Amino acid sequence: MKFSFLICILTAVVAFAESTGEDVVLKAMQDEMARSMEKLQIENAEKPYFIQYLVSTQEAIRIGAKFGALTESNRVRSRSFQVGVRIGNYGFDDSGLMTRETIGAMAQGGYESLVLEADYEALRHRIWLATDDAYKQALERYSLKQAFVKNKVEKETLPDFTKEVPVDGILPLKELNVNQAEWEKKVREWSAIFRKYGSIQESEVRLDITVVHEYLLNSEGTRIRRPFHLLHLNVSASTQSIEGVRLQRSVPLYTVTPEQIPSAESVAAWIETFAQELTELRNAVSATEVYSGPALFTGQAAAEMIAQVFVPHLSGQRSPLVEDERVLSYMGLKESELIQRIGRPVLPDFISVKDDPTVQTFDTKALIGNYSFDDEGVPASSVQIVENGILRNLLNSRSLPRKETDRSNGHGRWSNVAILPHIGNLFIETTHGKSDEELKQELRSICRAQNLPYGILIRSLQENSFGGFQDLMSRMLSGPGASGANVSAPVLAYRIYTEDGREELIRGIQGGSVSLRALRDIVAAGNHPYVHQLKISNNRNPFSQSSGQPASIVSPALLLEEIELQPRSGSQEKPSILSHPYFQK
Amino acid sequence: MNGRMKKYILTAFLFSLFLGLEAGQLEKSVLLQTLEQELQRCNRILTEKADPKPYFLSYHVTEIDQMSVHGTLGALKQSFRNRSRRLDIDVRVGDYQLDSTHRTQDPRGAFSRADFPQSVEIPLEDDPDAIRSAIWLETERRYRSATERYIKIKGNQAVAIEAEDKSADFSRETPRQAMMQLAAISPDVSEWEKRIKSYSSFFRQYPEILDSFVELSAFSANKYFVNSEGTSIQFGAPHFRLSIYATTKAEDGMDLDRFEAFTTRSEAGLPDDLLIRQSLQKIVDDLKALKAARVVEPYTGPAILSGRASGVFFHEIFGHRIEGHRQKDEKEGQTFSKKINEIVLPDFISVIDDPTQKKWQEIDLNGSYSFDDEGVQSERVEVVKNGVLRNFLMSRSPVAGFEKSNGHGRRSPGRSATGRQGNLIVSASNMVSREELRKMLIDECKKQDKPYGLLFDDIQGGFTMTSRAAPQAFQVTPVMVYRVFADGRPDELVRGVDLIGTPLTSFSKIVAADDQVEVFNGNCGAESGWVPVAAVSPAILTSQIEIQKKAKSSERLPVLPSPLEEDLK
Repeated sequence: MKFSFLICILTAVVAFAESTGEDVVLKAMQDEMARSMEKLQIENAEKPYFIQYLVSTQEAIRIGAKFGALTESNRVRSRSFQVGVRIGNYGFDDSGLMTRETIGAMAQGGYESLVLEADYEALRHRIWLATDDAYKQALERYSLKQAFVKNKVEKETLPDFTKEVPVDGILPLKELNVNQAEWEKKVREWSAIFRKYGSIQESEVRLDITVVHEYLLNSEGTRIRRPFHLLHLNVSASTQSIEGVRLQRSVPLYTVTPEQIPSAESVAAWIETFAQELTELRNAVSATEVYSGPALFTGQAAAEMIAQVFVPHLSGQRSPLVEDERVLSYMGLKESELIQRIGRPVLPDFISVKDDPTVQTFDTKALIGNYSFDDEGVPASSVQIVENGILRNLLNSRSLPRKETDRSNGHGRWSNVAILPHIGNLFIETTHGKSDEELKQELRSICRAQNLPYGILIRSLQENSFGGFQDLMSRMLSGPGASGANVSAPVLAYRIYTEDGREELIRGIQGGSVSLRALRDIVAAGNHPYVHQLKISNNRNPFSQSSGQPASIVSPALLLEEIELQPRSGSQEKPSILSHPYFQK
Repeated sequence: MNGRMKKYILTAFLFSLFLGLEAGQLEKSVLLQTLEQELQRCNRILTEKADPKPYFLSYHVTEIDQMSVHGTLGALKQSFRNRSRRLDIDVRVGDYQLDSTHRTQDPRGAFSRADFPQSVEIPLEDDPDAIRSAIWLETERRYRSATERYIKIKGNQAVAIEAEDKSADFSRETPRQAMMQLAAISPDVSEWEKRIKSYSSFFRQYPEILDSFVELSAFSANKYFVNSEGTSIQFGAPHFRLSIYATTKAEDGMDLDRFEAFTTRSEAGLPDDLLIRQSLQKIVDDLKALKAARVVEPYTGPAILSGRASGVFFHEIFGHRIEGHRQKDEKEGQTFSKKINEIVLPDFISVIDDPTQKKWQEIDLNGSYSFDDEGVQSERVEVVKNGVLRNFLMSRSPVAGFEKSNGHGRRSPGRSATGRQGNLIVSASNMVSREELRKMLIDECKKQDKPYGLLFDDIQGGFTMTSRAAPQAFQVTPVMVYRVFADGRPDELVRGVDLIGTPLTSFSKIVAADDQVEVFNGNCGAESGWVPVAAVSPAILTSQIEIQKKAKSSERLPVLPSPLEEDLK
C-alpha cells in the first residue's frame, strides 16, 4: 500500500552534510571564539578566561499511530547553540552560586536556535549575540559571587573548574537515511496488533529516529565534532481491571542506529507479549496490605531499581554555594551522601560497579550510553565506582571538584540547563552469579526463616522520568533531607509462595522504599546480566523538561533482603460504562 | 493490513479528490460520519446506563495542515510541514440552567483538571475503527469529570450565596447541518524557501539590526463538529501569513523592535516582491529613526491614533471588555455589565463585530468564519450604535438579558470556548479628512495649552505577534509615536512610550475620526486560546491620553561590533 498522507517535501531541502572541504559551522564557531577571547571586554571589567561553544544539529523523524492508523508523521530539523562563558580563573570564577538571581537566569537561559544551513555570516551573527549576552550574565554572576563570599567564612578553598588537556576529535558526518514511508507502514502495523486484544482500552506506538551532530569547541583548544544516532520505539497501553483499577504500561525499545532494531516480526512479537502481559494483569490478584520482606528483582526491574536508588547518588561534585540549603534539595544538587563513604562498603563484597561510556556493545546489543567525549570535551573513561563492595570513586565533570579530585573523569553531560556528572554505561558486576532458579530458592529460604507465606519477585518496574514541575512539587512537599529513595510502582510483580514455589501475578503495588543503605543487604545476584537502555536525568532539575540523556545500565538479577511495598491507596476509577466500539461489534 | 482498512483508505483518497472538484453541495466526510456514529453510540449508552445522565455531548475535530518557512540573514532557520487532528470533547451533566460547567464562587476554587481540558490526538488517516478507538475512552473520562464537578456544584449551591446573574449555564440553539468546502494548501515549498532566504538577507546590509527574521506560515484549518442536539457541520479555511521582524538597541540600551505581517486567505493574496521589499526597507528606516529618536517625556493631552493603531487600541481596550463571559464572571472587571442602552462612546461612533464579512475593500479580514467553535453560525453583532451599548459578543454561555449565542464562541484546540472578537469594525458617522484631523489636534493642543500633541502611527497589541509570545490580552505598546507641534514645526519621532492611566477614558474623549479606514489583521490570545482576528477603524482624535517613559532595559549594546560589519570593511 503506497498511500501516505505525508507530502514528501522534506527531502529536497537542505543537506546537513557538507560533502567536502571546510566545515562552515566549525569555522564560524572558531572565528567568533577567537575574536571573543581576544577582544570581548567591557571597560573596567574582567575578560572571559574560558569560553565553550556547543552546537547541536538535530534531524529526526517522528511517527505515531493508534489502532492501525497514523496520528503523526513528521520530519523535524533544528540546530541549537549553547555558550558557556567563565569570568575569573580556574580557582575562583562566576560559577557555583545558586541564589534567586542566578536560578532565575538559569530558567531563562538554555538553548538558542541557529540557522540550519551552512551560512557562515548568519551563524556567526547569532553566536556573536549569544556570546555577548553570556559574557554580560557571567560578569553579573561574578560580582554577585564576590559579594556573597566576602561575608562568608569558607571551610576550604577549592577550585571551581578543573584544567584539562585539549583534545581534537573531528569525526565524519552522518545522514539520517531512512525511508519514512516504510517506517510509517511498520508503525501502523505494529499499532494494529492491539486490534487483537479486546480488553485493552487504549494504546499507542511511537517511533523517533534521530541523528544529532554535536560540535564542541573551547578556548583551551578542544575541538570536537561527533555524530550521534538514536532510535526510540515506545509502546504504551492501558486497561482496567474488573473492579475498575486503571492499569497502564509503557515500554521503550532503544537502539543506536535504525539498522540495529530487531526485525519487524520480532518487534511485533515483543508487542504481542506486552499486550498479553497487560491483559493478564487484569485478572491478577490485588495487593491489599503492606509487604515487608525479601524481594527478587530480575531483568529490567533490577536495572531500573539501580537507576532509581543508586544512580542519583553517583555525582562526585560538591554542592554549589546557596543562601538557603533547601534550594539544593529542590534542585537535586545536594551533595551526594556517598561522598562521605568513599573507601567504605556500600554494596555486598560480591558486587562491583563501574561506569564505562567507551563500551559500544554488550552481548551483541549496542549500548545507547556510549560516547567518546563528554559535553565538556573530556574523553570518556572507565570509572571503577565500587570494587568488591567498597566505594572507590564517583563521577566527575569539570565543575565544582572535591578536594580529592583535580580532573574530570569524562562524565559531564548536559541536563538542559547545566552540565552535571551523569552515567553513560553503568555495569553492575558480580563474582558469584546465580541462576534464576537458585535465586528463587534463596528467596524462599529467607521467607521461611522470616516466617513469611510468600516472597516477592519483580520482573518489571515502571520507568521513572524525574524532572518537571510535578517532581519539584513532590520534593517541596516531602521536604529536604528525605532520604530512602522511592522505587516506582512494579508493573509485573509476583508472589513466590514459600511452601511450593508457585508464582502468582499481583497488581496494585504503588511503590516501595529501598534506601541506599539497603543495597548493602543485597544477598545474591544473578548470572545473566540484562541490558537496560533508558533516558535518565541525574539531577532532578525542575527546569529540565527533556527526557534526559541516553544511558545504559547492565545489571544481573538482585535479591534484596528487606524491602517495603505499599499497596495502592486512595480513590479508584469505576469500571467504564462505555465499551470499545471495535470490540462491541 | 485487512481488507476493510484498505477500503476506507481508498474512500478517503477518492473523497480527497472530490474536495478539489466540488464547490456546491458536498458529501459528508468520513471523519464527520465517524464522529456522528461514535457520538450516537456513546450518547445512547450513557443515556441508558449512566447516573446522572449527560444532557449534552459534542465532538469537535480541528484538522491542521501547516507549513512554515523561517529565515534569518539569508539562511533558513526552520522549514517544516506537519499535519494534526485534534479532538475536543464536551460532556455536560445537569441541564441547560445548571450544569457541570457552572462557575462556583468557592473562594478556595482551586483549579481542577476540568478547567484545563486537553485535546486528544486522533488518527490523521480516515480509518473509522482507529478514529473511534481514540474517542470513546476520552468521552468516558470527560463524563466522569463532568459528573464529579456537577456533584460539587450542587453541594456548593446549597451553601453559597446566590449569584447576582441567574442566567442559564448553556443556551439552547437550533441544530444545524452544513457540509461546506474543506480547505487545502499547496504552496511551493522550495520556491518559498528561496524567497524567504532572499528577503531575510536584506538585513545583512545593516549591522545595527540585531535580531531579524522573515517567515511564511501557511495552514489550512478544517473543522468537524457534531453534537447530541443534532448539529453536524464541516467547514474549512486556509490562512497565509508573511511576517517580518527586526530589532535594534538604542545607545542607552533600550530595546527597539518592528514587526510587520501580511495576513491573507489565499496564497495569491500575499504581497508581491515589490511590496515586501518596501516593507523591509521601511522596517530598517523606522528602526534607524527610532534609534536616533529622543526618549519621550511623560505627557497627558490630545492624540491621534491612526486607523491601524486605533484598531488595535479598540480591540485590546474595548473589544475584550464586551466579550459575553466577562459580564458574568465576578472576578472580571464587568466594566460594561450594567451599561446596556447607556452611552459608552461618543454618539458619532458605532462598533460592530462581523465575522460574516470576508473582506474590507480588497483586504481579506482575518477574523471571518462561517461557524463558531460551538457549531453556531456566525452573526454580525451591533455592539455599539451611535455611542450606545447594545450587545455583547456571545458564546453559548448566557448572561442576564442575553440568552442566546450570536456565534462568537471561539477557542483554540484544548480550550473551552468563550465570547471572542472576530472582525471588530469601528465606524464614525461624521468623518473628516486627515488634514482636518491634524488641524483639530493642533486646535485641541492650543485649547489645552500644550506645546504639542501625539500621533500614534503604529501600536503593538497582545494580538500583534504570533503565538510565540505569551498571551497579553489588554496590553498595548505604542511603537511609532510622533510629536505634532502646535507651532507648525515638523513632526518628531519619539521612543519609549508607555501607556498609563485608564486607557478606557480615552474612548469617551474621542473628538473626531477621519476618512482613512485601515485594517489590522492579527492573532489574538486570551483564556480560550489563540484565534485569528481583524480590527478595522478610521483614525481617531482623542482629547486625552496619558503616557510615561518606558522602563529601559539595563543591557548595554553588544561589546564587539557585528561580525557582518567587520565583513563589510
